[in-house]
Amino acid sequence: MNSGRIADKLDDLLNPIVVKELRQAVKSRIVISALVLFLLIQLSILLLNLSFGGRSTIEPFNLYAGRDIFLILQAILLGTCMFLIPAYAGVRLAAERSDTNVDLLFISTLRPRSIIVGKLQASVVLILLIFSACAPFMTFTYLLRGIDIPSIVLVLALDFLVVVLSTQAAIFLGSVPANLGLKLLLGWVGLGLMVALCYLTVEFSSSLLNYGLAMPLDTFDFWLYAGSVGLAVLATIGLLFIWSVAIVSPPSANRALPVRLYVVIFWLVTGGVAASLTHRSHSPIPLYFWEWAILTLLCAQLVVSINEREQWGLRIKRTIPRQWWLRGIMFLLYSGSAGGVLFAMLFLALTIALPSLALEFNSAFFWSSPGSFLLAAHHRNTLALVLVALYAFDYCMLAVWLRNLLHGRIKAEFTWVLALLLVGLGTSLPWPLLFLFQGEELRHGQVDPWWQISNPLSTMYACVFEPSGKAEGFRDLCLVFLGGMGLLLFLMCLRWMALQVRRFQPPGKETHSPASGDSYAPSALSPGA
Amino acid sequence: MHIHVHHLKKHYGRTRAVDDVSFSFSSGEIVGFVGPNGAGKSTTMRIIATLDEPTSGDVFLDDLSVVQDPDKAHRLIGYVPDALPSHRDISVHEYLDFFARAYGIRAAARKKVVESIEEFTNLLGIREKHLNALSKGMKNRVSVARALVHDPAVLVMDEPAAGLDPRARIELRELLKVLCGQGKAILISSHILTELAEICTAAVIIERGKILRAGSLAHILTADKPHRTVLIRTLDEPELLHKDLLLRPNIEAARRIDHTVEVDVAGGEEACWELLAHLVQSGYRIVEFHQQRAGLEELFMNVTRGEVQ
Repeated sequence: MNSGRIADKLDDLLNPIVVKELRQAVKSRIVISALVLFLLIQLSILLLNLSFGGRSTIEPFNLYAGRDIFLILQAILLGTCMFLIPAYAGVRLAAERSDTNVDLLFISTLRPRSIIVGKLQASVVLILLIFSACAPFMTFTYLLRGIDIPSIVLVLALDFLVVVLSTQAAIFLGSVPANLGLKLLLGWVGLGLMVALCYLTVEFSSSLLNYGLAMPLDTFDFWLYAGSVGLAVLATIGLLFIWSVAIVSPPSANRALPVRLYVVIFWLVTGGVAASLTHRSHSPIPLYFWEWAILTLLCAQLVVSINEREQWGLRIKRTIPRQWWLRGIMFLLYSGSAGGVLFAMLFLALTIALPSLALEFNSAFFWSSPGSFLLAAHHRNTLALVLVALYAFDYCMLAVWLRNLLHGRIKAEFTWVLALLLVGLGTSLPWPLLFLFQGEELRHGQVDPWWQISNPLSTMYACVFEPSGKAEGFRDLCLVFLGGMGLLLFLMCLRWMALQVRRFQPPGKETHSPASGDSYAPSALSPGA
Repeated sequence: MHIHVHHLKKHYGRTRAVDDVSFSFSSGEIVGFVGPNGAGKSTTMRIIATLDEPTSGDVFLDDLSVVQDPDKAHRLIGYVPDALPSHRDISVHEYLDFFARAYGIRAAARKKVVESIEEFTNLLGIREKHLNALSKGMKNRVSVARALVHDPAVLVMDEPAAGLDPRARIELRELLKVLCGQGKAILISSHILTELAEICTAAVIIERGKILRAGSLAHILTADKPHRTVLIRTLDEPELLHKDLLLRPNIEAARRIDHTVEVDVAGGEEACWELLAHLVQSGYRIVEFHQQRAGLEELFMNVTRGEVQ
């Protein structure tokens, strides 16, 4: 095989999106200017520090010059990578989504997965380009003392993961089909997240380099914690990736299936890791962190589900299993509003119930010496989780019920707006009522918490953080009330769910091609025929 | 290849964007898809191109269902959307190369394929130009080239002539004729009906999601007319001819216009032939006998009401 044929073979293996994106990137003035500017800044910082750094200090030599310069270079690297690459990838995808370019990709043989993989791969190549451009400067800091090679590698690895995470997040935000206003809003949300993440990463690496790790690099515990953090970041990148693929998939596709399958795997893997960390460290923090992260994810899933389809097209129907038991499982996993709600509620219940049951039967799993204070804290955590889950369910189901009541005046895809409006109303409406009817009590901070029952934040505060005997009574009744409301709303939406269950059937009979040889038959095509 | 749009329906809530649409066409035909804005043309075309799923009904490419096998259908369909390519920082050649890759054309053949498409669509001279630097007409050619890159048997074109200058329109028309000659089945929507009438072999008129007329152009232009209008010019005195014609039994009306007489003949082609034979036998020196056809524009105005949903 000659070299030309090998090159052709390799060329065929490349994702077309990567080729296109990189061709565009190397021609883009923004990318080239940013790269040159970045190199100039790195070089200038290094030269300025070498020339003037440490001269004003009492010591003749700055023993931490390497570390100080490394931190400055790292901040520049992160700043460049986290604002340039994600913005470049996200804005480009958002612009492509606004016209028919993505449609054109759908009718090629490219899969939506390849589109997102290509976007991410192209961005990773650009990230690697910038990282490799700064690597000589950063490793040079080792010679200036105050920093060792493992720390440099560790921080760069962390930076790389964070930048890839930001890029995938930007691709996800860019793939959301939205009008200009919503796109700008998403852009600002994305920018806020990037700034926060960039700041946290710089702070974390700064404390890591200044104070060192709590454990040596060659211990199992270090790799367990580092591996867990790495896994959590990778799992989040995977989740954002799956969401992006689902969003760019055509509406007729079974968009939710890969997302829900991934959530199941995500739930199992991250739950297992959190449980093992909790067991090893005898601290419930990893498990609490997992519970809240999963709760947030599932509440988001709940809000997304209420906007989903309520009937299935032929493409999906063809894949619905004929066995009733398998169809039951698939109802939870396939794209569909009722299935999505049931899926989210099932996993919300499991997320809250399993750690609580584990505590009931094996408290030593959590703590080496469980005390009443720790147990009370655990109960408060569980209570807060239950309250958030109940409020999310109640408001979502109320939105669905109202939408059904309005007989299609509100489109299914806007149910989330209705749910958010209801939350806003429920949170703000009690205040004017309190001013009108409970002014005195409000001034003295003695308002009956029932006035604020529609406000999730107030109720949460009254139930979880107010340590009075009165709150205890309210807490129990509040749980009964919210649970009862949930059950009532569930029953009110039962017809809506049952209808979808009935519709979730494989097609009765296949559509066949019309008789072959049926040539142009104008008479058969006239109106009314 | 035979393309059969079979009882296609697409409902958005209560709106019936496409309401039981059926028509068919074959390779070597150019079908004009005509209707007012919001009639359901683009939705139907998007369903044919597998971009949307119908509420019910199907589209068959021979025996292949685009609803059930969209992946196989992708290879057979070239789609030209109403929007022109707008990618930044990419040349015409790179753009076409990208779509050739997207359609899985191997590296060994890709270069040849892209070059032949560039040559066919007359893009060789501008292949290194950036897409965003092109005029509408050039972008349109790129859009057609992109749709042809995988050599599809069916071409679905949604308003390809919109916003083009006369020269670009003529070039597009010529390109379509060549493609039709190559045996491609072409479905094209346009608001420029006079141009459609020149290149189409058949037409489908749609409004409010329903087909109003469908068939070969010759058929739909004459189908509804109870009479034929014929323009006759003679070297003799036209007044004499006019009076003579009014006496004939199958003549509904006759009008004198300068040296010609316009006659409404009851019946079809046979009646026209009988009239011509009679005039020649009667010794009239006929120099022009021309059947006037209603244009697509006139038919469109007659059958549509300009209603939207």
